[in-house]
Amino acid sequence: MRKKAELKLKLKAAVSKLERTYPFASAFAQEKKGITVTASTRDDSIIFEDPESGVVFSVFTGESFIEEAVSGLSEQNIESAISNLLKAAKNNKTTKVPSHIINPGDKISRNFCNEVKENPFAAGPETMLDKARENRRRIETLSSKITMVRVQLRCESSSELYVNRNRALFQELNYCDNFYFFTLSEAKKTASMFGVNSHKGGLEHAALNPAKAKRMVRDGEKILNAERIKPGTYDCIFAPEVAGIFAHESFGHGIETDMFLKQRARGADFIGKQVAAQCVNMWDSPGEENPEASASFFFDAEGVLAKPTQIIKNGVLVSGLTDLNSSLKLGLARTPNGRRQSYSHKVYARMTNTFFQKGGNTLEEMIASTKYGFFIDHPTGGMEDPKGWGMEITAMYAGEIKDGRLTGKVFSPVIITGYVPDLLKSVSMLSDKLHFLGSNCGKGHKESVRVSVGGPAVKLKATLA
Amino acid sequence: MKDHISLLKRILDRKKIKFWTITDSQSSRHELYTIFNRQDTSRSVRTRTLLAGVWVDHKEAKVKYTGNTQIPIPSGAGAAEVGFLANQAVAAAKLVKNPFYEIKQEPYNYRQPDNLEPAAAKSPEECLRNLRRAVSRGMSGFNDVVQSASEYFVDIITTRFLNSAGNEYKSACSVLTLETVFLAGPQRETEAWALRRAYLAKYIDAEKLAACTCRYAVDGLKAGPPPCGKSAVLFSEDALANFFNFFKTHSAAFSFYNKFSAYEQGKPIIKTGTGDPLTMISNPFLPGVRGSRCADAYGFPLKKFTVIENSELKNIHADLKYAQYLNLPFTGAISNAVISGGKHTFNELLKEDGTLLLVKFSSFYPNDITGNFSAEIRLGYLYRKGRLIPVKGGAVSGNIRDLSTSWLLSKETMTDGSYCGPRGIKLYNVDVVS
Repeated sequence: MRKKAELKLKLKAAVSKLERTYPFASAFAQEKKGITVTASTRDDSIIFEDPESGVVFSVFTGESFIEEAVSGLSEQNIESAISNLLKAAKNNKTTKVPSHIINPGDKISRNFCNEVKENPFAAGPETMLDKARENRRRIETLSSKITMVRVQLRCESSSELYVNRNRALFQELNYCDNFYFFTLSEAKKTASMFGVNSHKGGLEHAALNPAKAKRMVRDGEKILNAERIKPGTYDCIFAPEVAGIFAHESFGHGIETDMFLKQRARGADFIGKQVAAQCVNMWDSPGEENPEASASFFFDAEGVLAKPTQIIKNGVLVSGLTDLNSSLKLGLARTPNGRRQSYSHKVYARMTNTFFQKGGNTLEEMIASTKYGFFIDHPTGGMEDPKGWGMEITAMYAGEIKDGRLTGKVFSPVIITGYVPDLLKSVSMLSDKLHFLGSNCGKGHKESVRVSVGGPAVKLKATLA
Repeated sequence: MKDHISLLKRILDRKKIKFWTITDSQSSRHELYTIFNRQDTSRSVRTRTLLAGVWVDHKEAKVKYTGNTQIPIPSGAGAAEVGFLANQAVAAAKLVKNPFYEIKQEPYNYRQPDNLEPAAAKSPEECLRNLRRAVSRGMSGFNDVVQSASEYFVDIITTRFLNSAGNEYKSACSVLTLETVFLAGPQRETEAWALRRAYLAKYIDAEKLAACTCRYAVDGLKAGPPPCGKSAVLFSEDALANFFNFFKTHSAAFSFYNKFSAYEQGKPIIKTGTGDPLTMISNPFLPGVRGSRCADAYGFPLKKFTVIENSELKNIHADLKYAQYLNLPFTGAISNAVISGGKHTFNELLKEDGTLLLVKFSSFYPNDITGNFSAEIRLGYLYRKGRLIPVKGGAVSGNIRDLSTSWLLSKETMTDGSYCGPRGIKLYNVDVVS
């Protein structure tokens, strides 16, 4: 962010000016840049992404919020946004006795940056394209059945500045995402697989994980001839990435407290109650140190410093994830979960790095303990239903387990559905290794933000189709 | 920004590159958020982006390549920075080694689809209020239903496009978004949710959407699990937007070039069976339909063409690059994929005992490559002995390609977002589990 100190002063002055009219004001400025390179078997591309540079001013009237967002960080744009907000005061009554008082937090002025060993913007698109091409070549050599590989390497840097009357916080967040997609064909049958490695940092994370790539190609070959599973309820072992999506969709969305405010989440009535087996502990932590926890930040879009929130403790639902609006109106403690897609989008209560705490079993012990069931891997998506407490997870791979061993028989694709408390209460084992999967997540079907989901392998009972 | 465009144009012209485009987009969006019908947040968002697209030819070891890239120009950039960014774009484009292809440099006339809602252009704030009033009218007959939360957006987007062939057009559209959630029951125990985005208010139809969503919230109270096993399923509403994507993907030159298309031009794409034939036409000129636009990324005017007719692949849809790579006729990019209806009415498809009508899903995204689908059922109805019995929970799964041999498409068609096609699609032998 150019002229950061100068911008900080301008935003401070703007907040002060707005607070002469409104009980509370804040500003969030952002300058985001990104490069995406794609190396495919038959063509390539380089895209310099739209820089998403701009500022949003938020004011609280005492009853509701008004926001003015504008692209660019010029003095003229800032002035015009402030002027519009001051004009809006005439149409939106500010209450003399506000129904809620916003606490601006302790006085803090700090700058943060996550570590980048190999800066993609200094290295440039040539280095990125070389790395993506190398990853593509490595996947192509793993199977003669592969017909097309597409590797996308995306690096992003977001400079963010939050200012209110007490706070002036700056962070530079750098991420590297490595997506790969490939198709396989054999005897007129076609299958596709995709994977993603997301990390905090830069191009030091651009290399393909060889073991993961081999596993994906091996499993892709198996699903070419896989049948659909006979629908039913089975003992299942979720691979860590599937378990992570399970955490995210079960009691991730369901405890975003803006959903409590709208009475859209049953979780609101279950705080302090048993919702899962005693062995289940779940967290949301934007400060998670694991480099694969790629939704990490130092403060949220409302200036709340990162700290871990325990969602489920020994099977008991203990906390929701709050944004300013819902915490204010519901009287809940703030957690660092007020997030925006960008400066031009509204804040909602959103997850960050959400994960099951690891347990004490090895994956081998979990498989050995299963008389008949399935090992579920290669997730493709998930969806939540916080009101009905249903959920779905889709995956490409269900490996049959018989008498404590993987038989080698594979079914594909599968959908996992069920009633969330039933699923969580059926958890009987958790493995001793934690992995994260980076992704993007929407609120309903829009407002995409970076998240990661994590877990050990989890054994439970679930309905598969 | 006007000066930026002239400056950028001059700099790109001086570089004597193969082809360039400049796209200047301005958006002015008004947003209103309500919780239990009280204003919670109002927002105003103004953004502007300037993008340069650059194509260059280059040679390596006597092999000719065409490379391209796209680069944004920040609003505060001075002449030196614009020059630097243009150099960066040319250098980056030279790194991209795609097989050579020609880009025609001809002047064109553009036919603009009418995508601007006059009321939104005149007063976005009033348009928001009208949407809100329409939602209130829609829920007026439902005494046991409350509006949990609604989000109303009106966005006016203007675009100016120029390319090195001397073509230029300006377009304007309005994008209206309504997301609304209703709760039903004494304890507000069920919800129904709807999201609709359209250029024109008539395609949002907020009153009807609200009424229908309220009905679903009420029916959710009475819904039980669907019967398990193989079932005849009539897919509607949430299932429609992505239902035909498998056929669209496999008809694309991109899929042929990358060797995963299951089709051959001029050959049937669906095995002969008892089902309705599939006809898909790409039509960029439908007023207010989300895929309607005048030109592709190069600035070539889009045209109407038949992709699939009576289940036979007539035209592989090919943009400039893939048409040349595969030596195919250039159709231009696909826009609105309009699917023809079948022989039976929606009611005829529904009123067969045991038919499961499914309207709401967690999500419905069949796999574009394989045609496999699996989706959790949020709400549906079982037609039995002349009655519609609400169902929810469980999931459906199958393969669209396999099941298309016997599918029946409703005679009635509808438009929702960029979907233009049958109101219902009936598949037989779909796996249902609860």
